Amino acid sequence: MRRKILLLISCLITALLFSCATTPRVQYGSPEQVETLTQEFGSTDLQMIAEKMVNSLLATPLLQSGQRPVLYVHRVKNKTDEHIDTKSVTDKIRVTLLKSGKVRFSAVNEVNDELVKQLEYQTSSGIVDPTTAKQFGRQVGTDYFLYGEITSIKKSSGRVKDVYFKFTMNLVNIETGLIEWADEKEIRKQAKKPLVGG
Amino acid sequence: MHRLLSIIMACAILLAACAGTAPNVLDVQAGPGGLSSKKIEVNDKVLARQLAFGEVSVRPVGSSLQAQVMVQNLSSRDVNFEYRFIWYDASGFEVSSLTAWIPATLAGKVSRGFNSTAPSDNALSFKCMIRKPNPLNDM
Repeated sequence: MRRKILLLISCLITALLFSCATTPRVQYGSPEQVETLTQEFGSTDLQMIAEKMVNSLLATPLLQSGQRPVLYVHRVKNKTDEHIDTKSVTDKIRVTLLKSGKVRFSAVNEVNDELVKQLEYQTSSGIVDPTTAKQFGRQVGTDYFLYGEITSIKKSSGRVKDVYFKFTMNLVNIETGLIEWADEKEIRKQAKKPLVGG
Repeated sequence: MHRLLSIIMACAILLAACAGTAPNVLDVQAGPGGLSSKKIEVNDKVLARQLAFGEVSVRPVGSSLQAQVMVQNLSSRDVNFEYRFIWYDASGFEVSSLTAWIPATLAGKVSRGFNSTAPSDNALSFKCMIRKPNPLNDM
């Protein structure tokens, strides 16, 4: 009996070792899962920032007035020493805010050349039916714009590395120049090298 | 023989501990004036001994709702966990766009409020879930 169990365990260990040894294992994961593969800015940091900013923005009286103000995202300055796709952060915020139905976003800041080209084509080429051609001078003026910055402080001592990210976002009233809303999200990540290896 | 069985049992427990556990869930229905009803579903009894759902506040912000759930660390040590809010409309359809698990830490014996604003006007109920950290760090 004892010999049989030992044989079974040996077989299981051998099978496990062989299954790990050949090709890399690929599997789909949940984008909602917390990611701590490295200390660098990652998907969970992006999601944490978006969650905080959207929750805060949606709670402001400005967005709850029912007037659906028109916004655009200016930019988020990356003041860290690593590459961060800040557009990906602002896109996540923009998409969630748009889906709330409480704001509208202007595309002028991002695709103005394409808009002008299309308007010229529709009004001047003679190809488009004039009754359906869109006219110049009808774009909606934006009420507010969002801008922000992300900074980081990195420290290390011995086997421990610490990184602190701070993301700040502001909503500016274009007419008055006043910052009508601002919030920030702080993130701390620590990594500890193992005693052996690493 | 008994020793062998103990080793096998210990290995099985270790493997089970590595897998993600079901979260503890606070299910809240909001009424016209705020909180209407709440129900707690405990799936992880070990976590429930460390973290407890406390007071729930729901208030209107404009035409939407804002919720705050107090989470209390019952132990005297720091507890790392993950949480998320998912909002639903009257028909039970999920209306949240941001449903990622958010990592958090509560110091020993500390109670803290976690907030969420309804993603749209038709969001009338929500679930606040907490679970032990289950990060993607190695496959």
